Amino acid sequence: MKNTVKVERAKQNITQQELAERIGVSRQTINSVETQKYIPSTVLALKIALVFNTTVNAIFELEEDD
Amino acid sequence: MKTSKYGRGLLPTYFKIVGIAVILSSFLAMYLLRYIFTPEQKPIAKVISLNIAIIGLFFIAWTRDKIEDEMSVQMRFQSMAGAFLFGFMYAVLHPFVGLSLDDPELDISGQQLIMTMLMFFIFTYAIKRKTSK
Repeated sequence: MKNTVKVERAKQNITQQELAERIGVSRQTINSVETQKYIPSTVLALKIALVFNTTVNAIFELEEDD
Repeated sequence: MKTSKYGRGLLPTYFKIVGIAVILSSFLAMYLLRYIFTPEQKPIAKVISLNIAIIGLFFIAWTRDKIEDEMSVQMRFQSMAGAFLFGFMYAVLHPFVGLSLDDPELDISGQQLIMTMLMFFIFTYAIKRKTSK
């Protein structure tokens, strides 16, 4: 699953650590989401979308093999 | 400090240090019990020191990280599954390795098995944490 977390983060000038603190996860989790090593749960995806004031669909996109 | 829902059921963070101290004390116990127990009682000394080491390993394995979240829970489960598989293979293959030796030891004790599984879990989980950085 592709995502634009890194892009959204850059747009809002937020570091991985800041984003992690806002949604209550570790920085490693944010890094793993950005590098597509980890697919977040619905709850975490919603929290990420909430921080960026957008929808989950705008950030996360299904790929063919999903 | 409020514990996250993902860290519930796990021991507080400082138990990692307690675990290391307990393991070190098992080495000390192994050394000291040699002098306390008679040669006939040596198997008991071995069991006691092994049990102390297992308790220490359990403390390390069952301690929560500073930040527990859904990814750390997933990594814990993957490491546990890996440890279970490793334990299974160890139990099945160990007698065959023993047969190739002059003094074969065909059985494995529960202590040996749980110790191997705990060590595998701790090692795998640590590697997973490191590679997620």
